[in-house]
Amino acid sequence: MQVYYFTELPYHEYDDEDGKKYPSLRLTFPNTYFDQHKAVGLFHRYLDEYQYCEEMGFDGLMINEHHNTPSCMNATMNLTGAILARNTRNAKILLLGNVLPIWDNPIRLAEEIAMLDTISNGRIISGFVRGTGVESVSTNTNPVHNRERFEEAHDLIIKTWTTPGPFRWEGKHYNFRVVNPWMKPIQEPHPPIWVPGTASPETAQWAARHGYTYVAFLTPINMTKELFRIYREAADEAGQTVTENNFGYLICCYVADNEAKAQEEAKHFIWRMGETTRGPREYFAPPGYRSRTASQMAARRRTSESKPLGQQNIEELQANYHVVAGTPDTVLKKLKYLKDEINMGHLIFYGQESRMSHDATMRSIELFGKEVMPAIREW
Amino acid sequence: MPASFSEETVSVAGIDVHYYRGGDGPPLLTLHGGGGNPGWLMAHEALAAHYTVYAPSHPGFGITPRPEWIARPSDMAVFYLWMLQEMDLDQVHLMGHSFGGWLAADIATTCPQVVNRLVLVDAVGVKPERSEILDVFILTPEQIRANAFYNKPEQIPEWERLYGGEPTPEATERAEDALEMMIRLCWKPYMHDLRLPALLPRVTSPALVVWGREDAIVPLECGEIYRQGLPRSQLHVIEECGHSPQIEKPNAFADVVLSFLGQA
Repeated sequence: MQVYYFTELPYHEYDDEDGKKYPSLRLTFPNTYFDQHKAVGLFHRYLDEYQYCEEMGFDGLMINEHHNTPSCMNATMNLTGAILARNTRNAKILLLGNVLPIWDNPIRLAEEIAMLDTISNGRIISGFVRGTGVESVSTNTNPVHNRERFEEAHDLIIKTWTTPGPFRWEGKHYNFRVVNPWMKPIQEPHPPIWVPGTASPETAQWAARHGYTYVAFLTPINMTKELFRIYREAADEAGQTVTENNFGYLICCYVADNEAKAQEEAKHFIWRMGETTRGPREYFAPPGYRSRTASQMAARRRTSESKPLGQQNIEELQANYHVVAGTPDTVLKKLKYLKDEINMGHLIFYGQESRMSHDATMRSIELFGKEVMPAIREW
Repeated sequence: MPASFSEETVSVAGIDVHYYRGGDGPPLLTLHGGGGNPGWLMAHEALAAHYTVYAPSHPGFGITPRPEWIARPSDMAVFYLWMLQEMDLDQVHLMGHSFGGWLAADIATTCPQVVNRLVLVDAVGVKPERSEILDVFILTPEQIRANAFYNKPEQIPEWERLYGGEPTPEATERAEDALEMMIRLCWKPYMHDLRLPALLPRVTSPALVVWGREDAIVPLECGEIYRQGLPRSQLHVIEECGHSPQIEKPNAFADVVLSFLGQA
């Protein structure tokens, strides 16, 4: 199993009481609560933590992107990717992922990712995502066209990477006279593609048909198994071979020298589960953003555990394996259980959240690297 | 209310368009707003005393299917022109509320000769300069409802029938479909077409612009823009009334419209 480090680069520097005055921390929470001078320090510590992960032997460094939210300062993930491409030497850089539907120029994305792949000398894993409704609204992209645009932008990017230019593209959502970017990715035929999922069966099926790695994000274990089953069925139909490398799983994890410290630090993940996902459905999944089937699946996700993710306390989050925390021994045992249950080939170690300090984050990375990683390597 | 109307369909562009029809006399086509077809209303009944009232469900709303090619309001305006052609209707009185008002204005500017008289009710479609059309796409259904009406439910005669009680799962799904269709058509630019003010002078028929004084969704300023743009138009503001005069003040509304159409 391979392990990737992840943080959302959170900005949890405002007063929580202020946040609660608004319907959501996303989309409409005023950016007057953002102090860019505080962000300077945050960016640098987060980047230091990524570099330390490489030292500790993590296989990859994952970054993502959100808009209009203090939960994620990565407003343009390819910029952060560029820094990592230059400042690291061996780790893969997992972009999970570029939000395809919200940009009107997929060729520009193809160029940026190709540059990253070239500067990093072939270390890019190029994830593609649909974004939440917030990404659609904040960029004023029609949510009804989200899936169509995702698929067309994907097709165009892949063609841009694999077909000699110049060529012409006349699609439904994108039209280009001369596709012929000078910059091409160094990996042939193109960087590996990963796709995350939380509820939509269509996403699992789409990833399966293309043979892309599918990463379940904080889904309950039973739902993860179901999504992986849906993936396997679609892959079978499409004649794609499936191994454990087709599956990834993201989990919040904290490793400490003792259980008490681990429990204390793990509480930082609660903000992410609840407060940052609070808000009206119109922000997160406007009508037309999801199919009826996906909406039903999302509703089941909310009811498949005794409480929705955002209302679970730290004990429940751990019992449901959304958060794993403890000494290296405890964490190893829990991760082994997860591995046995869902047999993923890739583990995303979501290692920092909210106001978890730099020192605490570094210690967890160190303990994971030195005492957990060697055993995981054998799985 | 007497069962003075029927439900029918007409085939247009390969789909069956559902509509309510009632009354007798010259044709009056009324186009519903973004929330979907509310059915046969008191206001329709009053108009049906003098006219044959047609109240269709737009493509993508209610049981009328959505043709893939309808991507913007002007496509739907062309669709309705096609429907008039299929039904052999000409010189219709054309009325539209909110989103339906935009469609009516678009139909009238595209093909002025098919319109006898035009009635726009709290219509979107033009961009206000001093204010904004409320962004209903990021509001909850409860917030939209709270902004839509000025009067209390007990003051609105058809409230109980239209909004009282728990909606059925089918009604919930229809409401969801309506909102999705509105997002499909009106996301960007939001609820307006920059061409429309420039084209309004094409409309040579008399036009009535009706507005609820307290409309919290579409500012009265939009009514003034329509009044200024339509050469033979008048603006009638209904006091103590929100976004839907035909539901909030059905009698006053019907009186104004009938008077304009020459029936007072």
